[in-house]
This record gives sequence, C-alpha cells and structure tokens, in this order.
Amino acid sequence: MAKSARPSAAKPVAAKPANQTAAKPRASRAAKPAAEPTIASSVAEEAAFALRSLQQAHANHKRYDASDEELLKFYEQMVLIRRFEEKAGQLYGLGLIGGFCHLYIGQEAVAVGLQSALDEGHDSVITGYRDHGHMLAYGIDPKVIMAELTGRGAGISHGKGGSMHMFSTEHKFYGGHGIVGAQVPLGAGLAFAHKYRGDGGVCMAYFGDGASNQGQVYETFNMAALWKLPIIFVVENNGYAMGTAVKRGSAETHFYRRGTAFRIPGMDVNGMDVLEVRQAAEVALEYVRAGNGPVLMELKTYRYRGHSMSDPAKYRSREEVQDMRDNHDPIEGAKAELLKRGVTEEKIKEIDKRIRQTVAESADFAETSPEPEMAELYTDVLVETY
Amino acid sequence: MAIELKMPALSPTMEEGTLAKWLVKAGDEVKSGDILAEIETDKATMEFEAVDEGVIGEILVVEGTEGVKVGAVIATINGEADDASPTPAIEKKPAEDAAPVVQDVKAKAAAAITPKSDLKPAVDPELPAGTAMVPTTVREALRDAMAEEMRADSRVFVMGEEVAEYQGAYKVTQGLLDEFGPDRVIDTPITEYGFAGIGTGAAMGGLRPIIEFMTFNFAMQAIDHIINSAAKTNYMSGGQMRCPIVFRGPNGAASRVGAQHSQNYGPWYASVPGLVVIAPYDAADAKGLLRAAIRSEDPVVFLENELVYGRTFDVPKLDDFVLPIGKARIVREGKDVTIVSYSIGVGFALEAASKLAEEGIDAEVIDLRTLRPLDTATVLASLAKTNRMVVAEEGFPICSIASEIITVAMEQGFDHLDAPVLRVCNEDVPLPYAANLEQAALINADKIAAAVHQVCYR
Repeated sequence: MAKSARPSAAKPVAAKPANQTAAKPRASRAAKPAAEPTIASSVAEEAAFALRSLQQAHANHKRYDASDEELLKFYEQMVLIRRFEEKAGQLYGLGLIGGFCHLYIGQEAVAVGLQSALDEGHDSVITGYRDHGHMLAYGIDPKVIMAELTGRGAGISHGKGGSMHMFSTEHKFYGGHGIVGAQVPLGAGLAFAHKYRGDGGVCMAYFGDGASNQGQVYETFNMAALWKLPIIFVVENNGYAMGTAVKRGSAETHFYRRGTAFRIPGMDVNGMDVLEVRQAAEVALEYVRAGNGPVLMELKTYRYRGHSMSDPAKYRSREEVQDMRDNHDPIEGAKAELLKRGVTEEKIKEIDKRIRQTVAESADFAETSPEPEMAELYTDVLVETY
Repeated sequence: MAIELKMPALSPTMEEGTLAKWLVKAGDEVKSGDILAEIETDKATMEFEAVDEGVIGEILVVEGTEGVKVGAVIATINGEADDASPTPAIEKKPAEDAAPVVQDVKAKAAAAITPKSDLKPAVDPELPAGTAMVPTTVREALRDAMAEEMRADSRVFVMGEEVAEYQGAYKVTQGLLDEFGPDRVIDTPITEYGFAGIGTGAAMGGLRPIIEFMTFNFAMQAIDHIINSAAKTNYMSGGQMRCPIVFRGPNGAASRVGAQHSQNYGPWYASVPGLVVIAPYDAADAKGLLRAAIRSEDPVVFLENELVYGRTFDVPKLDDFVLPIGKARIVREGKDVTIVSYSIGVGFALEAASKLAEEGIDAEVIDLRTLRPLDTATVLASLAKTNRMVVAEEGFPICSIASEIITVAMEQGFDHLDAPVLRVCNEDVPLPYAANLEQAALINADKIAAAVHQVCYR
C-alpha cells in the first residue's frame, strides 16, 4: 500500500526485522546521516505496526458462532430496545417525556453484540447521550429507565438526570453523558481504575462519528495508548453528526483509522449484524485483556429516527432510510437467521409478545409513578455535610 | 568602571536564594556566557551566567550564604583593561541592569507580603495542649498532606504535568515519586482536558485522584470536566455516582507573568453547586484542609497560591492533623471592623490590621479558607460584633467572592451594618506585565487600610 506513496523508500534499503523496530531510539538514527535509512526504518516500523492485524483476524472469522439460545437472547434484547424506544417516542409525543430524547432505533446490534461479550457488573460501559439501548443491553430494568424519561421519583436517577444522564454503578454502567465526547476521557479513567486495581476489567467507551471530531478524544487516545489502558473505543458511525453527514464533517471518514497516529489498532465492523459485532468484540477483547492497550472499533450503523425527537431529518432522503430498514435491519436479519436455523415462527412471536408486555408495563410504571418529592431538589448536591 | 553583579531572580516569584558556589574568583577574566556561580532556590539549583566581559573585581557574598535577597550586589566585574568602550558595556548588561528596577519593586512587594512574626495567624483551637509546632513552608505542607494520605489509602494517586520525574513544576510533589513509584505519581502529557477527564473517570471508577494543574489558568482547558463531569454527576445520578477527586494547583496572580497566567478562579468554581472549593492561606490550613479534601467524598477544587508556596508557618506536629472543610477562621481578633479575605489576601489583611492598630483601629481578620460552602455564620457573627466590614480579595471585583460576602451581609446582616460593606479587589483589567502597572492593579495592605478608614468614618 505504501509503494506508490513513498517513491524514495522503494529502494531496498536494509529493512530491519520487524520485531526490532518498535520505539527506535534516537541514537541509531543520528548515527546514520543520510535521509534514506530513516525512511526505510519508518517503513519497516509501519509494517510491524499491528494496525491491521485485528482487522485481519476479524476478516478471517467474521461472524460469531452463536448457539440458538444465544441468538434468541440477542434477538430478544434487540427487540426490547426497539420496542422500548418506539414507546419512548410515543410518550415524548404525548408530552410525558421532556427535554432532549435521542433514540437508538436502528443501532441495536451494536450495543447488544458488543456488550454480550462483556462481563456485566465487572467490565465498565460508558456512552454519550443516546444511552437507553446500552442500558437495556446491560440488563438494567426498563421500568426505572422509562420512569427516568418521564421524570419520576422512581427513575434510576430519581428523576434528576433524564434521558441523557442515567447511571447504574451496580451494573458498572457509568452514563449517560450529555457533553459530546466527554465520555471518552471519562471512560479512559474507568479503564485506568481497572488497571490501577489490577482487577482484569475492561472499559467499553462508546461515542459517535460526531464526537470523533472533539479534541479530547485524541488527548485520550494518546494517554490510553501511552499507558496501555484496557479500553475499547467504539465509534458508532451512524452517518450523521446531528444533521451533518460524515463526509461534510470529517476529513478522514474511516474512523477506525483515526487511532493510527497513536498506534491504536483499528477495526472496521458492520454494525448492522449482531453476530459480526459480537465476533469483532471477541477479537478486540482478547487483545485488550492481554494487556496490549486500547483498540478502536468503528461500527457502521444507522439511526432510523432523527438525531433527537425534535429533528425531522430533512438532511437525508426517505429512500435512504427505507433502504436501511428493508435491507439491513439488524432485527430482521437476526430473525431470518433464526428461522433459517429452524427456530419456529411461534417461538419468535412469543418473544415479541413478551417484550411488548414488558415495555407496556414499563410505560405504565413510568406514567403512574409519582414525580420526585420536593425534598429531592436539595439532595445529592454534595455527598458529605460540611 | 565596575559593573555590579546582582543576585538574580531565577523565577517570577523568587525573593531570595542561597549562593551555593562560586565558580570564579577575584581576578578571573570572564566573558559573556561563562558560568559564574550556582544559586539555589527552594525549587531548584540554577547556574548564574555572566552577561558582560571583564575581570572579576570583588566577591561580596561568600559561597554558602543563605537568604541572599534578589537584587543584592554579590560581586563586581571590572571592565576590560583597555576599556575603549565603557559606555556600551554599561548600557548593555541587560539582565543585571533590568533587574534592579524590577527587583526594587519586587523587594518592596516582598516586604509588603511577608507576614511579620507578630502577625502570625492564630491556630485552630482544637489542638491538644502541648502540641509541638514545626515551621513548615506551604509547599512542604501540601506535599506532606498528599504523602500522608497516600500512605493511608492506596486508592489515592497524583497525576499531572511534571509531577513525578521533574518533582513538580513548583516542587509541590517533591519526593513523592521516590516514595510511591510511577504507578501512583503519574506524569501526563500536556493535555489538561484529557487528564482532567481521565482523573474524573478514575474517581467515578472508585479511585481517589489528586489532579495537579500546573496552574489553574491551564485548567480552563479542562473546566468542562471539573464542572459538567465532576460537579454535576452525583446529582444527575440521584446520588449513585460519587466523584471523590481533588483538582489542585496554584491560582491567582503570580509575579510578572501577564494576563493569561494571572487569574483567580475562586469565584468561578465557587459559583458551581456540586463542588467544594478551598483556598487556604497558611501552611497549617494548607495541610489540614488538603488532607480533608483528599478524604472527602465530593469533588474538591483546591486553590493554592504560588507566591505563598515558599512562606513558612507553624504546623502542628500531629499524626492526624485534619481541618474541617467549610469553616472560616478568625486569624486576628478585633472589635472595630471586620476584614474578610482568603488565600494571599489574608497576608495583606493582616498587614493592614497591624498598620491600623497603630492608628487606633482594632480590626478583626477572617480567613474564609473554604469558598464553597461558605461559612457565613462566622462572617455574620463578626459583623454583629464590629458592625463594619471590608472584603479583601486578590481577584477581579465583578461577580467576586467579595460580591457574595456583601450580598450575605445585605441579606442576613443588614441590621448590624453601620456602614456600607466595601470590597478591595484587583483593578477590573486583565493583569498587565509592566511592574508598575501590575503593582497598581493588585490589592495591597494600603488599599485595604484605606477602605477600613472609609467604613469606620475615620
């Protein structure tokens, strides 16, 4: 790949054995006055750099060998997210949910595929404001999530956080952060804590294609790689940073390449197939758990709804959305796979019915439980009394 | 014609140093760039180079002398024998020549801000009788506080620029790397936003980070994490997400470093619910309150002051010396007027009180110590006693801590007021570089004394 780009390096100048090229000290370079050996050594370094090794491992074995039971579980979780978000959209329309509300519809395979590979309650997860799906994928009770959306005292944040600010330390789900990109260094801090304690845990930090252009993301890449923090950076590339298409906002649209400058290996993953996502997670986790430092995964996905409830999504065509729904839907894909495996339509319908019931109950709970006590206004500002 | 070599200032805040070693002797010929001497400050050892050519005339300060004031003549250089062009030699000598002007101002400033022994603040009353007092610099007190908490709790670590191998840009973390190793004393790249976020995340993950900003001016790059991530998450999570972190470093004007490096962020952080903000003055408070800050379950912004780092105060020799957060301290009792201040302002307030005493005005001086939560009870009790109040603050006047104290006095102490409360703050301009302008922009004891005269109508 570098051949045409580096004409002067094409000469066969003493290529070093690949395993010796990492972190070449300055002294050896200074000893050779000519420019050419320096270029040759950087080419050799490039060759040794494992940027693409994980991608290769993923390409060699693309899809996770799920048992029927596992695939049914993935299907159920994705349907739960889909139905939950549809209900949230409804409640928003009824004025029961206020403020900003960002739905995860279309992106379900990402959270489900990745988090099913984690050790829930041990590995940490952190994300931005589009967080309902990641919570549901980590087994958090839909009732307390929905009640938070409606701003009730029984909500997971006692009604004081709302859609963008939800947390469950019990599940090691650390938010739910409203400032675009802020969750990236926070996630590295969680990874730092795992490493500091030596508990073997990993942090999975999600952010979007939009957040990928925030400076703090790269500050974090640098330190995470420098300190070999156990973190998986997950770019959920849904094509649009609010209303700005990726190509209008990003000079490098292949987000998995953006760790290269920090020697972070990247993975380009189809985020619309839960089994591909899960298998990619296996590859990334093996690398990170072995103490090699961070991985950057780009999950190509799509959101069917607008950026938030107030977004009519005029910046893209109806056909584009319809094509994704018809031909790439992660839930339909999983369903087709189940049927192909011989799982009965009845069994699938039974899951659908159960999920509808669960979501209806969570909506009932969210609508009927009372607003927070007025005393909640003043609680949790500080932990201690001074 | 002899050129005087003067004790150089090796940092913006240096007031005096030790002449560790002479590398030349009388009669030696020197040229520009030759190293003449080694000079030690409390931060570092630096080499002192010749700027002029000539022959060393006289060594006026012998090596090993401590406490040599900046600007003092330490040796002379005689111009070259043929001395055909003495004028340029005198005109040139930029370092030494520029220094005296500045140093005179600095020397005055130093004299003004160094508390005299009779102004020594009273010590918190809860100490057991017979507790030994150890003279300690604020710098050492801060370091001791961190070291003691790190010994007690393995979750505590220090992270920041130059905190480890360099031993701290201002030497506050000196020795910590040796004792605690690189896993707990962590050098970061120059990346405030990033490491403030990583520290905050680590606190959310159950650790107890101490994040050092080289100065709080640089924390502007990181303020999103201090406010949006650290301060608000506990509330937004309904009390689930603890963030026990300390952000610390020097705050306020240093000396001649210009507007971007000279600002007091106390009022900024003190306006944010969810934060604890501490700004101590003396070494005992620095130590006792930093230990309390590290132990706190809440995010703490701990504002130090570079000009105070080198000052020495008594610190009680106790194994577990921890002071309460949120409590002001009456550092000087008085009956005629109350001067409220914090951080470096306390030194000026004490000096003003001492002058005022000579003029028959008995001033009470309160060191707020904690800016959030504010100890309004102590302030109001003092107001009820003196009925007059001045707030002295090294910072901008608009929307300041002084503004807040005045509001408290209006809302809760109105009946006790015999005069309007006045504030003495810096001028409402970005801090200028020129020595005279900078001095004019900053608060000092005379300005405080003048305001006291005004509220006392005498």
